[in-house]
Amino acid sequence: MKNLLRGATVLLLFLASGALAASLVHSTDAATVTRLLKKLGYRAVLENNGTGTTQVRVESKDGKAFYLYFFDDDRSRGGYEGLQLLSCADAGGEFSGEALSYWNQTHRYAKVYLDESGAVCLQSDLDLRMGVVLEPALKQFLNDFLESYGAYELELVGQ
Amino acid sequence: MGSMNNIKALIVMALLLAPAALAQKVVTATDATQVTRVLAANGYKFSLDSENDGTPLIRLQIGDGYKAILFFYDDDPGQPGYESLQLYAGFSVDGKIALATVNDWNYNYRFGKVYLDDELDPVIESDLDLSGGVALEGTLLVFIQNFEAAFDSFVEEVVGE
Repeated sequence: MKNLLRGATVLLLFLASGALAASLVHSTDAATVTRLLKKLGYRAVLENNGTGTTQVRVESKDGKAFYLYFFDDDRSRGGYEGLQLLSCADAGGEFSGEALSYWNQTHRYAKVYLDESGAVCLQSDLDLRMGVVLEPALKQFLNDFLESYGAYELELVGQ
Repeated sequence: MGSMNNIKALIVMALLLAPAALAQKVVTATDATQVTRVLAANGYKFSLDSENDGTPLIRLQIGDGYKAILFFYDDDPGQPGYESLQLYAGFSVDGKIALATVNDWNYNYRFGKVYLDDELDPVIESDLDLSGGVALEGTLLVFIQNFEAAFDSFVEEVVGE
């Protein structure tokens, strides 16, 4: 009887650990993201751009500044299913299409382009619909973006 | 009698937790076996191949008979499997693709990026980092769906087919 009880307990603990560890989300909201950004050591200021769209102005410890935008507002899930990190810098007409295409060929997890104002932008997108563990996924999303940001600064903006 | 009731209660709790634990298995890396299992279960046509160094790659049929390649990256020796994936599709074109067209695509679409390769042929790519922890099947399916949607616009607006 003791063995049966012990076995059932072990099984329960095993299953419980799996269920708890897999706290997956498929959407999130601005308040949650802002809180996590601060927890991860970023300066994060929630802004409303006046059109009802929420965005977060983010700054890393080493001064890299960018915005986090929310997309795909799924009301049935009470949050946004897509996140986007974006940083744009005045290009001053200095950037060739070849340079931007080559940058996109040689780096992963982000892309660069010229926007309508001629600014050179670095962008990365994360689709939460897939089901992620929010804090480590956000942390990795930011790490990948900042790695790209370093190359963007060094190879494009810093030229 | 008390112990028997405890066992019954534990078994009921285990049965309640089991589906959640199995359905929401979180991974931070994957391999060709897991990926091909998901592809097969969801009706995708594909073939398993490998690069020269033995790294697996999957040739995946997307859209109306087009082929994409799924690459495996970041083989972390500290854990089994690959921590990131890349979907890639390229076209060999006769005419010249304008870089402005490539730039416009990158500006207008979210999931994926387009560039001209060394032969000035258009390529579309999308990368997925698993290392933050994801639900594998859902992740793969959304990753491929997003790539297929991006690919359709790429073919129409960049390749011009």
